[in-house]
Amino acid sequence: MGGNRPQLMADLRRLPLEERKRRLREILDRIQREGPTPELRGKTADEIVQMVKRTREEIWKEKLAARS
Amino acid sequence: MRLVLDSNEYILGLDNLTIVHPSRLLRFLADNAERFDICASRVIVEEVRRNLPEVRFKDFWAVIAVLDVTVLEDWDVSFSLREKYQAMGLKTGDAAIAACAEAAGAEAVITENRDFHGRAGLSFRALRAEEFLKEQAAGDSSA
Repeated sequence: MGGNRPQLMADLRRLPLEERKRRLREILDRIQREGPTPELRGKTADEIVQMVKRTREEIWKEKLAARS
Repeated sequence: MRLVLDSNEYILGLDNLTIVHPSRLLRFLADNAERFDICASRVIVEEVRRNLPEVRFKDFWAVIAVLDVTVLEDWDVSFSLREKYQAMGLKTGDAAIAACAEAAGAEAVITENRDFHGRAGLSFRALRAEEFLKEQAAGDSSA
């Protein structure tokens, strides 16, 4: 998906509901066929949740540091 | 029904797939899009960006577009709301998600983050994807 991303996103949002549902099912079916990416393959769900929690705190440290 | 999906649901649902419920959650929301109004914070988007490979982050953008997710910016959420949740013992980042959910008027936050589950005083219910799907299935069968 290249080109003008904000415009593409706006176009997706404007699609009729049934078409948006169809697009989403297509994306999820493709992801299911492709399976996990190498970056996340083998990680447990809990490991992923902990990884995201660390990212969350990092982002907030950055935000608060930028304000001080 | 207004919902906030935490970043872990998008990441697990779009990539890891070691537990099935986040993926089923996205599929359920796709099939029932007219019943739900989904919100996110800008930080949730950034968390997904930092943890998903680029190829999947592009899918994430498409998913939030087709689900018509409303993304709240930091300035949409008052500082005092975040402070309130920090005072209740949530870490800064989790407090910001709780504040976003309250500011959005969300009935539920769907998350696999245990720090939200069973916590009293939240303005919303914190549910795992599996719990949310069970509730929805029970509601459908009693309707």
